Amino acid sequence: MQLVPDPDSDLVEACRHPENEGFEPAFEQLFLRYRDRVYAIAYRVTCNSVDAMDVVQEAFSLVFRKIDSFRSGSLFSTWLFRLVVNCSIDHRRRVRARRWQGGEGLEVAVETAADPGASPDTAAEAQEFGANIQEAIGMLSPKLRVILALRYLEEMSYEQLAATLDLSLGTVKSRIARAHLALERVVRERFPHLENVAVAGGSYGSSA
Amino acid sequence: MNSPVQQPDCRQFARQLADHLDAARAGQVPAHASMCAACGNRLKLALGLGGPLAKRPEFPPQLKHPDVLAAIHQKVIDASERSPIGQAIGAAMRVEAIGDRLPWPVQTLRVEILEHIQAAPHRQPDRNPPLVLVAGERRARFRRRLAPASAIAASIALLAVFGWRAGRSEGTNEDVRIVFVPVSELPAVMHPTAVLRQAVVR
Repeated sequence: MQLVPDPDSDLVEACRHPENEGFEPAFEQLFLRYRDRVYAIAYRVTCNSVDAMDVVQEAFSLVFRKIDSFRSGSLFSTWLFRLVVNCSIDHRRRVRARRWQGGEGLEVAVETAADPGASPDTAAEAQEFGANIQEAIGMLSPKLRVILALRYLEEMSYEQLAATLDLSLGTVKSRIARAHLALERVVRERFPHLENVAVAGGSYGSSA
Repeated sequence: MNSPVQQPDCRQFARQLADHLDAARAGQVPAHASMCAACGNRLKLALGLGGPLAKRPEFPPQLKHPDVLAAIHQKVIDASERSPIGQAIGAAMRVEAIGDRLPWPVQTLRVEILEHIQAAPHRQPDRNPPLVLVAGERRARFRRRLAPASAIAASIALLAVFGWRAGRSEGTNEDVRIVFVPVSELPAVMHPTAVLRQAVVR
């Protein structure tokens, strides 16, 4: 049941007809509309800028080829984010296998946007804090990373998460709880200095 | 700070952390969190991590570059060309007559027919038991001589008719001329190429 009209329905409809002239501008428009969000999710899961770029390209090439398989009963964004999640997990698996065969370690390159309004010291601290958190996220399993990315970056409700990941509401809540507990453990064990900073920032009634 | 002691209430609290986070964001302090320092701390930590988790990463400049779209299109092309249907289309597009050589479907067909002919005498079961062979030796010898020739004629005729039917079913409006030539020679006209090609593909 679709309660909200899909804001992308016109563009998606145009993309269903590659023989028409409207296909290319519609596809480009979809790409421009979603590229940042797709990149952010991919980055959270792959923990690497180069890999995230690969995922962006892979995900949109799948949109190009498989948009016919998208059923209009759901939101395009839900379908797209599911593709991105699957591409990210597959890509990470392939990269790990390649690096393992090549005897390399899996490095985590971390880039978090600095707050442009912050003073240099504060900006550097915030960037380091964000980088440490991303590193901690990188130590979680891909499934837990995915649910944190969609929940916090995309601000998805439990229902949206359930639809995107094809899970029950109960599983969604349980996975979010597991993700937080796992992240808490990593922070305590590997980044103990972050705990006080995070706890201090975690006041009741905060909207994040 | 140590991990919370795993009392039954604490385990329950951990399992329902997602709901407690929602409540805490709305300013409601869960009862257990206000009584248990460890779980209160756990909740505050989860709340505090929400900010960094929601922060988007820095976008690389190449994400905004037009080359990304070109790279996406290239991935689509690569995937299409690798697919079985893409390979079949690619092969069909490469069909060209080179000098006096015919396109590959005819050459392929000719090879197949020749292979069939070479295999035919060996595959032909001997329908005459030894006693009958003695009784009708002349007739049996005649049949053996006839077998390869009949196999050739039958296979050419079947392929031609089947190909003609296939061509008709795909809406070929042109009149089809069936030209019989010895299998060692190439047909003098191009039209049977289409008929025979479809017969081979199917």
